[in-house]
Amino acid sequence: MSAIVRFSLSPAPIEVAGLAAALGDPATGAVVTFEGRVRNHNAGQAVANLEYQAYPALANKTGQRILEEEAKRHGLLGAHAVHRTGMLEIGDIAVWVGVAAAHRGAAFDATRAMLERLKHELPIWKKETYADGRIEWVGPDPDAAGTGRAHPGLPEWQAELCAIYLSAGHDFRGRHGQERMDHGIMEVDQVECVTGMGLRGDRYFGHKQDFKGQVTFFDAATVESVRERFNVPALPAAAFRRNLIVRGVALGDWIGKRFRFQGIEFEGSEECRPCYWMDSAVGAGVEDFLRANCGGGLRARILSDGVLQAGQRFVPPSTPGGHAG
Amino acid sequence: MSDHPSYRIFYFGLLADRRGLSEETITSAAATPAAIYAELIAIHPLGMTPEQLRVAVNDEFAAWDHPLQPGDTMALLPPMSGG
Repeated sequence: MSAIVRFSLSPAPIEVAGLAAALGDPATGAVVTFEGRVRNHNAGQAVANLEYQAYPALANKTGQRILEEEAKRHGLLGAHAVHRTGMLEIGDIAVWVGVAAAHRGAAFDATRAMLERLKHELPIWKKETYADGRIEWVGPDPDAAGTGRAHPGLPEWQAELCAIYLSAGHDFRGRHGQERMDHGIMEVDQVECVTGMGLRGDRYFGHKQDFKGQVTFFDAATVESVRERFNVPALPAAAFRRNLIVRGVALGDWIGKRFRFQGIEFEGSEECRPCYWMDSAVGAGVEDFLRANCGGGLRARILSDGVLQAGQRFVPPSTPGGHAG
Repeated sequence: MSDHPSYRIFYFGLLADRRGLSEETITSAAATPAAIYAELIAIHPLGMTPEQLRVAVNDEFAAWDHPLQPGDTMALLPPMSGG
């Protein structure tokens, strides 16, 4: 059974009556709804009204994709979100999100996650008219979310960044049944992280919207155990074709979690599962070895801009059970 | 020039205001969104770098080096501000 998930744009006022009641099924134990309303001020300015301009063909696809991903991640029984377009007055509903789940935890978490993503990823633009007649296209508001992006209290990885690798092209992706390519790997001392895009200069930079693998982390300890297990002491860490080789953090603990590393914010998205190319890239049996040891690495999204530096700012793990655990 | 392929360009938000229109058809020998945008900013006061924008081709987010086919649509997307 899969949950009913629906995103829509509305050029007319959103009629909330009935939206919540239509959510979920008899297994539903919790429904959370959220109304985002037009307020009469923004950044100290008196707002008269505002206009939302959308790119409908892409906004509908993106909104639906966000809801489906979050519904799956949080195990929802139903989800519906509506975003207004056109001219709005003070007090009008700009966005409405409702979710149904078996229990309240998932319902609250999913509602919040959907809202944050809709605000940052939907191709919709807000144009505010102020009381004094000025008009301005408004940028995203990272600070307004509180626990959204630019969160000051995120756990900081107490880990060493051993090496940074970039590759300008794909060696394996999309080449099933063919020979691998050989774009080579470039080791760099530092790299620019760009929010939502990736590592500047890497093959996955700007690959696609909200890509889960904007950056990949790989454990230095895994490199060492593969060297030992497969008797390849000279195997370079670059052979795994992951971006960032780190030491001192349990990567598997960070799937679905936000963290800070060298001051830059990331969100772990999923294990970077090893594929069969690993055997040809490194050696026979390596794919299975990594799979059995959750050693494929961590894929993550980049949530803030900054520069990562290799071989610096290593702070040894302080206490057991700390962030490094 | 008329031998070059034509592309439909969509502008959104601030970019539409700066361009003074929301869509137009251009002809260009450029074969990627990056190359086309370089041509556009050379003749229009768009005031934003590619790093500040995202681009969509045929209603899907795309990379700036995405290979374009004649007749493709290309949408220029400033930082989004829904919600």
